[in-house]
Amino acid sequence: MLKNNLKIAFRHLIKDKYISAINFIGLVVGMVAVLFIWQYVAFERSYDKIHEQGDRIFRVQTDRVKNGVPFMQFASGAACAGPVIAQNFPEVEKYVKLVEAGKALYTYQDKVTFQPKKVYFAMPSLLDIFSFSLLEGNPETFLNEPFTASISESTAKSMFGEENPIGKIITRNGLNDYTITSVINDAPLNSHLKFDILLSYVTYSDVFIGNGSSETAPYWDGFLTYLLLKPNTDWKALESKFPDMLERTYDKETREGMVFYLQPFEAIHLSSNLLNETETPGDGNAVQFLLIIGSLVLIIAWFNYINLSTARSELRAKEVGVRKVIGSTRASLVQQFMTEAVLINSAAIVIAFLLAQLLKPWFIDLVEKPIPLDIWDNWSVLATILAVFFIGTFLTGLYPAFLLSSFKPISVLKGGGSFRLRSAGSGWLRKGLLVFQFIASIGLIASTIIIYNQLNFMQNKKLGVDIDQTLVIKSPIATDSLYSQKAKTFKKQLQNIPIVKSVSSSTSVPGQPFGMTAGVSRWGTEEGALGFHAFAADFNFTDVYDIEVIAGRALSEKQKSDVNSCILNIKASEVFEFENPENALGLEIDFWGDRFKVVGVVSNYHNESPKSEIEPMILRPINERFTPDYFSLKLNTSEISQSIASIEKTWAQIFPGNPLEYFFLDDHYNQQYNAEKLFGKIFSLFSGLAIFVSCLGLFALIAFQAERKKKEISIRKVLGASVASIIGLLSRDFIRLVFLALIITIPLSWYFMNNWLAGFAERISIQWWVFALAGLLTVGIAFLTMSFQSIKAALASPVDSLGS
Amino acid sequence: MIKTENLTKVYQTDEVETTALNEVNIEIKEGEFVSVMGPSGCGKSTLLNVLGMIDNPTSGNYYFNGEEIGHLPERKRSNIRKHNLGFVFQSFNLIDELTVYENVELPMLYTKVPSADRKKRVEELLEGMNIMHRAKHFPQQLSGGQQQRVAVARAIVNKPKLILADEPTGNLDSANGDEVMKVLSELNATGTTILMVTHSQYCAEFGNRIIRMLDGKVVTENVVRQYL
Repeated sequence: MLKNNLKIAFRHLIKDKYISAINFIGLVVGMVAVLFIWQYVAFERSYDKIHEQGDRIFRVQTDRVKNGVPFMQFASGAACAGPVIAQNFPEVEKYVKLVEAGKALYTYQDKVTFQPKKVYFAMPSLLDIFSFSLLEGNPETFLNEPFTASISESTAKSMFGEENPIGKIITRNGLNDYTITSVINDAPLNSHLKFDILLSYVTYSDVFIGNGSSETAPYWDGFLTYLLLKPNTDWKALESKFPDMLERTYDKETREGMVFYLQPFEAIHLSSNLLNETETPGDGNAVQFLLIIGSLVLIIAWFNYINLSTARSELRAKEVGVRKVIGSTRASLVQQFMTEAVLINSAAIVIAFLLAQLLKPWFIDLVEKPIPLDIWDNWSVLATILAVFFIGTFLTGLYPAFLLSSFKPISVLKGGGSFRLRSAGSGWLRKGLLVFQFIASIGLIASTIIIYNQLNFMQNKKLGVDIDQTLVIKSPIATDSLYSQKAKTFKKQLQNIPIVKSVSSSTSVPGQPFGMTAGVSRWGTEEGALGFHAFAADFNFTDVYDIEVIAGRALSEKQKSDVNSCILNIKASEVFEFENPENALGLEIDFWGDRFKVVGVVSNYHNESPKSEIEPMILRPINERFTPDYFSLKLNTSEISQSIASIEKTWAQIFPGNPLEYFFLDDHYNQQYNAEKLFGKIFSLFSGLAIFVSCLGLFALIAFQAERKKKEISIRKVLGASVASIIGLLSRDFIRLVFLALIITIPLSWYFMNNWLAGFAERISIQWWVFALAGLLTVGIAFLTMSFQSIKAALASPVDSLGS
Repeated sequence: MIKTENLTKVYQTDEVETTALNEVNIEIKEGEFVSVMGPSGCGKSTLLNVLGMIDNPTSGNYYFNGEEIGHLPERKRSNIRKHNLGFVFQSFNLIDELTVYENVELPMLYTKVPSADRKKRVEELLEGMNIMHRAKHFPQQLSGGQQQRVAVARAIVNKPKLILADEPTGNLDSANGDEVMKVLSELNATGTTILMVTHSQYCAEFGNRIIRMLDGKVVTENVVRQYL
């Protein structure tokens, strides 16, 4: 019987080759889309899942609060968090603190130079909390002495090749020596905490800081703190005890000025996007959206199958009738139609799998993520394939099978083959599925338009800072005690290069976070400190970047006292509770023990992309303590190839041995839109696929309808109907469904896209015309798809179908 | 073999009630060849469908081999049908996607006849019907007469006790029609009971009894000749 079923299934697929091809192509496209998207999503969701105690690990988030409203939220938060929480709560089994060691060159006996990406000072408890293991060295002595280091496996390979690194001494920026005591395994790609070198935390806390403040200061941020809680601890309850703890340990102001939250470790990658994250986090929302849209492509393909099978079922009625009369049971008929679904679904999944393998490099390029797309290694992807196959087969096979097998032989055999399906249920189902496809198409088009509008809006937004024709040179990695002086000389010499209009040196440039966060209070008061973003720059900065001064003046070289002056942005003056920026002038502040006087307030310019909120900012002058990290060159022209040689020459003279690293600021700034651009790219691609698959189905359905109405069309033509009215006859129902879909789509898309837009500090408002355009496009595409078949049917000679 | 008592079939549409069969009482004995005649709409096809168990009577009883089966559920009727009945239709109703061989073989798949026996039986029948050379062809490649011969072969492949034929020659020219009637007569001669609906007096006379119907009722029963 199986053989017979297979045979007839195969023959039906061949006989209706166009419909089979449409079903097949749709399914393959849908399956490839799902395989890719689900692998991408599986990878994003797999972050930080390798740690055995992962469900008990939490990161401490620090919020800085003013009048009950958080104005800064840190992933790498307060210095005191770990020690104070561990001291107060027995629920905490262990904690580990990590603090970034900053950019530096590491050398080994002047033979090897290495510039690692991520270096942390880390506590020995790292090994007890996370499932990182040592490849070399003794876990008992891991980072427990000052000036010891643990290097990652890949760092060991880069620096020492096959040699054993244990006991070797590496030098940081030519200043401090660290003895390598262990080699730690590399953190996997899907880990938010990655490192090349770990330096012992005790070096930082006991040697560099020395006064214990790194363990007690409540207003010092930049410390990653992870807690390992005892099993079965109610972490929400623990979190709620933190405010009391802060008041007990410090005072009421501290309680009101900061809040600690616990972030479940395994959820950090997709749910946390705070200041000082260890790396650009994933976007949980985007992942959800992509999952939905990837699945939509497949669901649309499944619906095509159901639609076309039920539409075609009238043609199969005779077969069903005959089979029933000669003894087939309903079950064996269901089996037979399921065989067809199995056949087409399995063929589609095999081809989709092969295509996915073939297109893998292209997809990795597209998502710009080295996703390890190894299907055989990844049980969840294998499970996806099986699920797609089984769900697909059941969904697409079952309904048509039950519908077909329900035909009564008496009614289908009576008419000698001219049977018309009158089951009201299937008509509604078909319309329902079509409306769903239209909803998906209109929704996807509208969403794509909204995404690109938002992207455009951000890119064209007036930033309040001039980033054009600005070349930024990074400071040398290896610096010495004369660096401050050398930087001045370098700046001076740059100004002699003809294309350079002006130069400014600073610790940060637009297009990235300010770099410093500081607890600052009014000078001479007992008030608790408030958190601000800060950076240091020379007196040219506001000028070079054309930042508008709203009140007071910019810092000036001519004013000797300006070494102790600072600038706020409007937001910062508001944090100090000045409604009018003018009133902030003359305010004296305590910035890490230094006394500064506010001489100017600048506009709330977009230091980072309009996606981020504008933060309260303090600009203080560059000095011996805060040396420049960047030199910004405002150029007369963007054609710099001629002049770059003279810049390089000057650099080499002043900072010999250091590679010159530079970038154009507009490129650098625009990199902030990469995530949105990528999202837009993937979103529009998969929307396109979904619409394509929908159109395939629509094309087949209207062809089928035209075939079915052949006689009616002919009679109408004989009676004088025009081609246009015939086209109208065929497309009218579909166009009605498009309008129904439009009505349903508007609130749905509006809701989802508003959710997406909520992630942007500055965002567009969704306009009505987006939906009008999306609806129009869908009608247009649907009409184009239909018109070919409709016109063909309308132009056919009536003699052909009426002759018999 | 077949006995009906006040067999009635009423079709109900939204507003109209049509009585297709009105208290029909007939009896058909094993080995008979009975023709049913009457004008269009007299209920002869309905009678055939009810007796063929592809339609249910509204009221009355239908005894098949002594068992009342008029009100059995579909599953049971299907089981009796596949072991006892063979159908021949006016429009042949062969399955277009199956070859001649496969069409004839199909009923045996439902009665789970072993593969070797199926092959033997199909070949035997196709030889007998003179269409063995067409075994691998699809129905649409055959003439009407050939298609109906295949349909007859399919109807008798499970050696049914009763063959129900609904205008078997209606779509055929006279030569092909004669051919089919000859096959049916031969089957009857070997003991198969046949019930045939027809418009043609000529074909009806191949049977040994003619039942005439009008407005859902049996009006006359003529014996053409005594069956053996």
